[in-house]
Amino acid sequence: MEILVLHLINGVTLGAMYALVALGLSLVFGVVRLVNFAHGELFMLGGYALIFLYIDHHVPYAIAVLLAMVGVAAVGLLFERLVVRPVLNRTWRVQLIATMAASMIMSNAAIHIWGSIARSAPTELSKTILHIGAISIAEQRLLVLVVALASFAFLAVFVKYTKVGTAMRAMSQNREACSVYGIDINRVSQVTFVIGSGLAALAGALITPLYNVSPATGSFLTLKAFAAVVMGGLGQTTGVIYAAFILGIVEALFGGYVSFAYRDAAAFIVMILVLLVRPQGLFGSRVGI
Amino acid sequence: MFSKRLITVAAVCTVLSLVTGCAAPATQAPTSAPASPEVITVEKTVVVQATAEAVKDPVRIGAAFSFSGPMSFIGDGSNSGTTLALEELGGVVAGHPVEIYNADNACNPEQAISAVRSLVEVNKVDLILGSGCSSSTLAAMTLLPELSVPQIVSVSSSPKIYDDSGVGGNEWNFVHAVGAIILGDVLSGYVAERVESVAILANNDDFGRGSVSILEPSLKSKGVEVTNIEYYDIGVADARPILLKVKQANPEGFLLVAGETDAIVILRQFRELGLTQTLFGQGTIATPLFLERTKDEPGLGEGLLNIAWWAPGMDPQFDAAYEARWAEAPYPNSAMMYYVMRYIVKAAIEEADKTGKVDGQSLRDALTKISVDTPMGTLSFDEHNQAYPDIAIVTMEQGKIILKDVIHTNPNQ
Repeated sequence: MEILVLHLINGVTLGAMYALVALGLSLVFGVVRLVNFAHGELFMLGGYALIFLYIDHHVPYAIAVLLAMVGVAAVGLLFERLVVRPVLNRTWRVQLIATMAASMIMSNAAIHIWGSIARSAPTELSKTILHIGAISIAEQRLLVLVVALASFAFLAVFVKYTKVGTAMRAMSQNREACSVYGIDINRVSQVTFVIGSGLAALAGALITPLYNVSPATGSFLTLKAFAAVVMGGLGQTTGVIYAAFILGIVEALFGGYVSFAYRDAAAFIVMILVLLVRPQGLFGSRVGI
Repeated sequence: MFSKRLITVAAVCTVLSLVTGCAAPATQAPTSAPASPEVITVEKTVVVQATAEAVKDPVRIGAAFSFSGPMSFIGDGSNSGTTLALEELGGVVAGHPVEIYNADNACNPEQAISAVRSLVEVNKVDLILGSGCSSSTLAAMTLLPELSVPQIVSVSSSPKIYDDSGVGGNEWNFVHAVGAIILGDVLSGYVAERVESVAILANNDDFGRGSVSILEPSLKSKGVEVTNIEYYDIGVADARPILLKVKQANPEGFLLVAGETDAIVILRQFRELGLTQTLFGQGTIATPLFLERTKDEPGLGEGLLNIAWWAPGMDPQFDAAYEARWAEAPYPNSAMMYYVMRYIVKAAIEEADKTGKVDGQSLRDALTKISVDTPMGTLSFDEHNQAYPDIAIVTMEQGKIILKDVIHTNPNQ
């Protein structure tokens, strides 16, 4: 029973990690209707920004995280202008190729800049282990969980109560109608990418202390984030939360009780099963965020 | 439209997951590192100004290693070693200027094939140094007879490489470093002296599975109970499910077959979960890179006993030369490739030069004949094209790598 509880805790913290990565992806997916295969590279940039600030220049961790978010958000702005906007009115196949190409360029550029060997960025929280009975957990993992939930709450409030958020919701429902009503869809797209990139960087800066960061880091994590987005429902941030935690728990339990080598496949098979029953995702509908 | 896109994304995710997560027998190496779309062949990446007189045609050598992805330390380290060796040789052997061409295989079998083919057909190399990861090496081996170019393998240990090389197998493949058969047998002896039960966690590729195929029966034959055998994909982020299994089984020892990048992540989680088993390692774990990367986490690898192809202190002269050249401590892959280039390749070129023509065929024939005295022992290739350099047992104690034993593996010594 004790081990089961530990596996469940693993799953919840893993799910929180996926949720944090998936949040920005879901936002972009929901508002701009674009699958951004370079989202993982934004996560990776967040990790390297943390290392540059916190490890190399000894900036206090909280400030380093904020600065990393700002820096990568700026990259997101550039990304939107150079990669996304030219293909926004093209087919989804063109958009997919464009973002995949950007992903490859960014990861190879990272190899040239930082080298290919992984770097780690342990923090005081990642080195501090909380012991509650038989449960041992690094405090950094609890931070990831708390921030993931807080980020969702922030985003929910933002899109519901702010003018920009309302415009984002409108754009997710009908982009053409937004143009007719005078909403600047390019501006909304920019804001979406800035927020999405900032969230990716936040995920990178919080998760890197627990693992490593390398030019290849973002790719596989992004696959899980995609799974959460798809399973949760197109543009459904609430669905993303539930889906991410489900994936994390499935992975932890399967890896712990059946086979660690096939745990990733198990998580994706669960995603497929959900889509077979509910093709629109757990909380999916055609209507926006 | 959205359902179609959704299904496409779902299909892409699932296929990629199955490709990277499926345990693969034989030569396929699942990896979490994304495959690059094509091999980047960097021409003449090692340029050493010839200091001796070069009067003959150049000898071109291809270095096919992982220069990207989680196993990139293999390529980077190998580059440093071969460069140092070439500089010590003055860039020329037997009047032939020596040129080295690098190609990235990203520790991926498909890319390994592309890398070797590119090196031979485009760069016209006469000899391959490669391919780092066992799965890549096994894949590259399949091309050698067709391309008539020998390959010298270092730091790949899958038993299949030994079985498939030399007489009755691939006569173009030569193995410098000892493989899992010897490493596993030696390490299991040290494990048996210290614990009565052990859990094993290994790379999910030919290196890891090959190592376990030797370790498991060897440990059992020495009276050690193997409580768990688990595999992880290279680049693993979360190993806690496996480590919880280990916690549940509660063995006395924990044996990790890994490179240091993954070892750092796994050991961090090992400590996080409060595990206290005696640590053992096979692979490049106890290295200066590990210590450098964990300098802010002292004690992460404390007490780990690692069997290594090479360790600092085995050749103090090399240690000093490397540190003077690169301003950092030498790395196992650097050392292994240094000895290959400095002694074996040098001897092979000199022997091949006697025939009047240095090419793939003459180099292959030369490799079967040479016997070279090196700081790692006398090296020559037996009927399986296997050499037997010394190996080391090291431990990590108080932030240092301590050389415990040097093992002579040459059966004729």
